[in-house]
Amino acid sequence: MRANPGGQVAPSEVIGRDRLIERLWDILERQSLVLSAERRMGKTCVIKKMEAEAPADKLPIYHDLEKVRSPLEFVEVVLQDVEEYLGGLKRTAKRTRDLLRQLGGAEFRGFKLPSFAAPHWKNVLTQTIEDLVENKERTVIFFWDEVPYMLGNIGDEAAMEVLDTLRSLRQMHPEIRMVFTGSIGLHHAIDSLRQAGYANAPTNDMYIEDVSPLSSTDATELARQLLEGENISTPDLQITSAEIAQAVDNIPFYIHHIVSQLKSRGGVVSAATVSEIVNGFLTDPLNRWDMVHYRRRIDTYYNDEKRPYALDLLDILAITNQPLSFNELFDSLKSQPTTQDREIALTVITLLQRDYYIIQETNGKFLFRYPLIKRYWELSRGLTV
Amino acid sequence: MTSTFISRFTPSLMKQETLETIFVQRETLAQHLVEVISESALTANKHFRLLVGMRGIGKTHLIALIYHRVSKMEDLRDKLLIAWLAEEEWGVTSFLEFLRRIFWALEKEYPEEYNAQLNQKVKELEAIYQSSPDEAEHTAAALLKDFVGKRTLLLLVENLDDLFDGLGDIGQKQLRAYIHNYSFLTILATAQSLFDGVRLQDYPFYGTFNSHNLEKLKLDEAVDLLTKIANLEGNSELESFIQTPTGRNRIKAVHHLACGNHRIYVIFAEFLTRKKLDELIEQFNRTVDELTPYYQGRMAWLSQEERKIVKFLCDRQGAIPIQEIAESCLMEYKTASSNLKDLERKGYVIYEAIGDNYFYELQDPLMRLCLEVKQKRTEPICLCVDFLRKWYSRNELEEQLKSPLNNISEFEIVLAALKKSEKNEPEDQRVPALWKEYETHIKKADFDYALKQGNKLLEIRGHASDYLAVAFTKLFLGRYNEALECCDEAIKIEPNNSIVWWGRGKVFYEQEDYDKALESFDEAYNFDPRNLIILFDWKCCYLKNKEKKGENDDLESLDREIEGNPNNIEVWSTRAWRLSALGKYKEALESYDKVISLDPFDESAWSNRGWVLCGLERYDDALASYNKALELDLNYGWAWCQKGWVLERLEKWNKALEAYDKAIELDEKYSWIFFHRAQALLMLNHWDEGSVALDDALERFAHSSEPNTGDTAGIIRNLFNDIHHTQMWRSRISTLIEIYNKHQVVAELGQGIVRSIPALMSEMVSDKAAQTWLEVWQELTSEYKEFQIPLRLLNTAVKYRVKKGDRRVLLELAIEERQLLEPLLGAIEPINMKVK
Repeated sequence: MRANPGGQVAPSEVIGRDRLIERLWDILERQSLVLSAERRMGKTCVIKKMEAEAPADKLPIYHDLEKVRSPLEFVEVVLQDVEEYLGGLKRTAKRTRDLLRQLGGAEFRGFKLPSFAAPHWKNVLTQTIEDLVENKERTVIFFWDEVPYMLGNIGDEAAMEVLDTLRSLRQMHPEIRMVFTGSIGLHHAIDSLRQAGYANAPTNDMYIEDVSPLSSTDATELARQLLEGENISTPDLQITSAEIAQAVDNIPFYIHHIVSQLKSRGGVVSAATVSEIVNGFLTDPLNRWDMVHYRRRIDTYYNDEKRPYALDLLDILAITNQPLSFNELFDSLKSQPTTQDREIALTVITLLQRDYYIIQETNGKFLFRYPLIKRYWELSRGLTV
Repeated sequence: MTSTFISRFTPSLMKQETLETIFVQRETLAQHLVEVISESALTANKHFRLLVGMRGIGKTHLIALIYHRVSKMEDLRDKLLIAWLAEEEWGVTSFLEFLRRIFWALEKEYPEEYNAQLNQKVKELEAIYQSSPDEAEHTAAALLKDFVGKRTLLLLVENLDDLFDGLGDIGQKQLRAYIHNYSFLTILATAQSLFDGVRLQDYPFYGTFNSHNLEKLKLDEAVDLLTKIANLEGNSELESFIQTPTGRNRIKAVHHLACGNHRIYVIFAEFLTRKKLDELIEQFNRTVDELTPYYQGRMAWLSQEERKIVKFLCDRQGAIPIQEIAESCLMEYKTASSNLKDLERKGYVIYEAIGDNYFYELQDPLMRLCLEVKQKRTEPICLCVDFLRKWYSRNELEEQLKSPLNNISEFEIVLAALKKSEKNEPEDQRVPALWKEYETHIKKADFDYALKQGNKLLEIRGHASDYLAVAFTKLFLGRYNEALECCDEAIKIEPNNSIVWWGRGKVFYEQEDYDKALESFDEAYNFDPRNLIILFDWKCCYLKNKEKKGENDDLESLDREIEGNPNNIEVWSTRAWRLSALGKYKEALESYDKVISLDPFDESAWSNRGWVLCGLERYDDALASYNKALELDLNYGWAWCQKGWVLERLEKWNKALEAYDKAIELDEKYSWIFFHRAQALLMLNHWDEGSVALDDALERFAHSSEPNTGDTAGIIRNLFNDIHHTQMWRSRISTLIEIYNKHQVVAELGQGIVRSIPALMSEMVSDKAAQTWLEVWQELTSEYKEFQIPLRLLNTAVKYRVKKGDRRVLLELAIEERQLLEPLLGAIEPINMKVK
């Protein structure tokens, strides 16, 4: 296996996701799903593997929606996918086509939905799903990737309508399953809609699942296979593999990156080499891993009131060696005049958890979710002693 | 010479053979890229690779090479399609337009299949577009997917950053969705820098591309590239010259300014000949002229604000703080800072942080120099190239100064050898005149004319030395077989002449036939074991032979002979000689001691033992050994030469002077002896006599193609250290300038000024002394353009020490000058330095 950071990995070569996928199939037996994670955590790899290796009674339909610019385009995508499926069964989306003929006064041909259908997109979507439900021979699961991007593209009002319509369709047709995934947290997209007056909870019927890093065993195995595949010499393959996995918190994207760097560098690889490369990336003036994103995101998604809390909380956690309780954190926060409000502190702590900065342990204490990000935060914020 | 098309700006036009022949530095990367493309074609893995590097760094060359290699792979024939988009795909403003460019590329690559399946449908897109652009886009995407079928499509995309700019946010999202939805694309792309569209998490293609930074050429790689181009052009003379220390030094000078940019070397090589490389300035001026479109192209890629900054940095030398750049360019600080960061990512500028301040300057000094030329200011670049040419030649000389043997040029060796083989006074009066002409033209490297004189000597009398003279000119002209025939004729006439055997060895050596060369050198040694030049050449040849054969340098066969006959003086002598040649001085000394124990009257053994002791830096013992050799033979010229050199090491200038005088009397008239003699006189404060000696040495040796001008740094350093009087400095510096100017080598004094800067940096020197020294030089050299660079460096060095090592002082210098000065500032006080 070759290092392929950022590229498409063959489903058969995706390592360490079998248990997650098994759990996802279980969830999908019952309900639809929001699959969230940081960018580059491997969401698309997971759903592509599910698409490629689906059980016989399931029909996964994958579509990346980031290009979609209007509700009508979204319906168009769904209709095309449904027609492609029905075409395989020698059937058509009859209800939908009838509706379109009624609307346009003529037979609908081609791929693109006509502009006259735009005001009726909800109706067309509903008919399309009904065509599917009526003709399906397996459980259809729509894997819709980059949903938050689509919501951002189509504007607040339309986005609210799309989300509500989809929720309504899930209620009308409990046998249909939808999987929303996206690089930007869906909660940010919905929060943004709330600020524009949206009051619904459009995904509260869906199960929310995270794509976490690999287990250390799987991450080490991935590193080992990549080192072997790239013919990289190391005094002890297992130790070096474990070192790579640990250095990047078992995140497959970074494991691929490290091995790719080791390949370019040549020579024999030791634990010190790995550490040197990781530190190089963390302090890289070219910012090739865009670690600056973790700082920039605070400015983008946290308003003036919340921002100082977020920064101070992360600063405090970056320089401590053990997890801290909320009270311990708040005691430190209070030393700054701009972070005195307990309620805001609690809100920001929740947001930081949803944004993958921090996690709460079972004993209630908080710590950075990823040591890699903690190390970056410490270095970039000048907190290193 | 052959004529092969080497494109400077469009490597994609070159044939695969040419691309492969002049490909350097990146073979491992090329192989890796071919492998990942192959994997993308044969499996469900799809790789996205981005080659990052400034313009001219060789991105298109690599893309073209990969294209040729991949398209010839049989196992990919039915699995992979290639669409190589034009280098500058102007006007791609939508995903549909991008798809059309792919169709055009496919049409070019697969005309038959394209015409059969796609041509008509693609034409219809235009009509569809008129009624529904979205429909046209959708149709185009479906057409491409169907055309590719189960194959993988390799997109070769240059200037991906530009393409993404045109596609905009939605176009990029469409492309990414297309890639994810259908999984049949693999991309190899290029960009000038790691741009936001692939670098930042807020963009669709964040993290998708695995980037490979294309490194600049290192010196060895630049030499390799130029050698390959010379070879491709069939220019064997240039190819050989590049491999010589002088040729390499010329390339070092180019490298100092070229920053390892491939395109600059390709342009540089275009009109290159041995002569032009040697002289350098004319070639450089031509290169600069040819580079203009390249730099104009680089400027064209920038925004107006970025251009303004680059122009400002071109006009100003040195590194400038952001605040000053912002003020001078009438920009807000934030705007200037953001533009500079972008320019840094694109490889135009570099920065250095001092405290909270960031100092920016152009990364590529040639860009500034080229723009100066555009402003009709050609002098700076000529001065700079001339200075660098001399600087790197001097570096070689500095190395030579470590050993008297290394201190003789190839021409000097040849001429001295020819004189030695010329045993009797000539009967024909034309002979001395012809010899003089021959000598003059050999020194000027005008071998064709020298050959004519040699041939006339052959016609007149045909001595062994005449054959040898002709042999050497043919050797220098690369006519090896003819040179060898001449040597063989000389050997027939004088089979016991060490020099003719040595000459034969040199011819074989140049042809890399080291075994035969060693045989000839061994013969030469047998006839003259005193001759260290034979020793030196034997050593080079022996080591090259071992390198070529991959063997270790063992002397086992000799050791076995010694075991059989422990008192065989010849075997011990050869062993000692070879060990000394290989730098194994300690073991060589033991062997010489054995030789001397067997024959205490062997003056060459004593002399060579002295040489070995010099290698061990045991100068007192070496002196004793030379004295012993001279006791046995008072007319042993080479021993006098070496004795003088050892006495210099021991700072016994009077005695050294005597030794050099004796060597000259015995006809050992090497240039270094004349210069060392002059320097000894100056060291002894015999200034008038020393000046005359220096003038004489320059008269003899400063007017050839490889002028020797002595150790100017040593002379200047000693003047600084020995004299404490400003007026005296003024007077003596004036004399030096007058003498060097008389021989038109005044620039060499400039080199000496710079090289003696470490003497000023000693803690034992006062700021006042350094300042006065600078002022005297400034006062006396203001009229000479040759001193502009040296005085600028001296001025900076003095200011740097007065300001207690404030780095900002150094940043005022242009980067190419700063890089020369920096190593000198931390230098340890050299030997012979006296406390001031």
